[in-house]
Amino acid sequence: MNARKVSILSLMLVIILSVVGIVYAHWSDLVTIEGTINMGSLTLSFDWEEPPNCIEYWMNDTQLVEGEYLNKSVGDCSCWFEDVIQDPHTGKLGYKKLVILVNNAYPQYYVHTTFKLHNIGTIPLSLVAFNITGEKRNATGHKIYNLLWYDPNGDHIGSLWEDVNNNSIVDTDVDIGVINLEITNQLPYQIDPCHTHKCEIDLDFKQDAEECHTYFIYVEVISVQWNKASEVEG
Amino acid sequence: MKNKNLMSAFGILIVLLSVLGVAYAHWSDTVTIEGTVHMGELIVGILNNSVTWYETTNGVLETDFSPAKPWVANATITLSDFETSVHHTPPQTVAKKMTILMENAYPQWDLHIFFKLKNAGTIPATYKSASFTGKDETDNESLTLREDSWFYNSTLGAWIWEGALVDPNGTIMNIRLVAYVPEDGQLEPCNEYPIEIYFDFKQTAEECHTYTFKVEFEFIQWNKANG
Repeated sequence: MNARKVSILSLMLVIILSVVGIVYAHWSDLVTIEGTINMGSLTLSFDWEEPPNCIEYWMNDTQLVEGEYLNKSVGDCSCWFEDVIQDPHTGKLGYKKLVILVNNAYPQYYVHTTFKLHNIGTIPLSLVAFNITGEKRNATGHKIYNLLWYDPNGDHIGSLWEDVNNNSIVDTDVDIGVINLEITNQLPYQIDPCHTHKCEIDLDFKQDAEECHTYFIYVEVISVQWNKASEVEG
Repeated sequence: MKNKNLMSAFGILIVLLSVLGVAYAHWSDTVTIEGTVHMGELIVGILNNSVTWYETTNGVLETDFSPAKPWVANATITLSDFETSVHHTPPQTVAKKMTILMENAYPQWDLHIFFKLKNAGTIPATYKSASFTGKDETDNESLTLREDSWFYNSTLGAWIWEGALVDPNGTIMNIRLVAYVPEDGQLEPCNEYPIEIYFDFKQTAEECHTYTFKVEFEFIQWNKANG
């Protein structure tokens, strides 16, 4: 008797399911959109192939002359790249840091450094700004002052000043100008992928630079995707 | 004696049956209904050769930049899975699948796609639903589709969907879809309906990542749309 009930229930279930199936059945069709997005990369570096170069100069009355006054070897300068990076997209190598080391510097000692920037990414970039900061330390390594960048014309030809009153603003009547600094580049400047761009930095130590102290100068080269350069400027 | 009675009964039965047979015999005729059913078909797809697109950066064509940079990012769009209706003369062919490949994309790069959706079948079809899947192949993360608005613009005569493709880091791109279809979503046979899709990449899209997505649009016979 139980077996008969089970059989009847199963049969009813099959009938119900088939009825439900008929109710939900309908014709349908699909349209599919598939997308694949490979994002590009924006990577500015110092050039992997060509190392930086720095040269000493001295100023005669009217022009810079390579070397030092009377052919002496008093100060010396060297430069190199550090911090290897690799663009994950292109696999190209470069450096993130340029180090310029000047020893035994003295007023009217000039250091001219050339280096190459390289766009190792896949998107054109624009150089939009140089963020220049620094600090002055004494012989024991203690920081004495921050250095402030002073560029009244905004042409990247300016000077570094010791922030004597520590207010983060250049007060020319209080603070002390110690190093002239010039970067020869018009901004914004576009560098396409795989392209390089040669830049120059000139350091000119002034009479007020203090003996036996160390000046650390940091220059950040800031770039953005080329189509955002106008917004950054604005 | 018993056998004799049995034989008599059998004889009477035969006689009765023959009489009944005569009673049921009469002239007869038949009416026949024969049916042939030609079923319709439901085919909705992307009209072949209807796809066009262009690329901009900050709303400006890459070729109009100074200097022009048409080579930075590139999109290619292909159609596949073609289906041809057997009911139309000339035959109606539509693609069931659109594949979009965007290479070297970057923030503020925009892709504008235009195509025509066609009901190539013989019965009206109605939009039913859409399903989305997406993945950041680089991080192996799922992407989601954020819906900001979905409304019918009576002035344009179009449904407009606005939203974004997002991952845990933020918005990858804003998306805007404009479908010039009737408000009830019905697509009539042999009619074509312009569709526009806009992709606008955002600053939070990640460098060197590969994103994939798939959207399926389902259409059903119009009379089941509310069922």
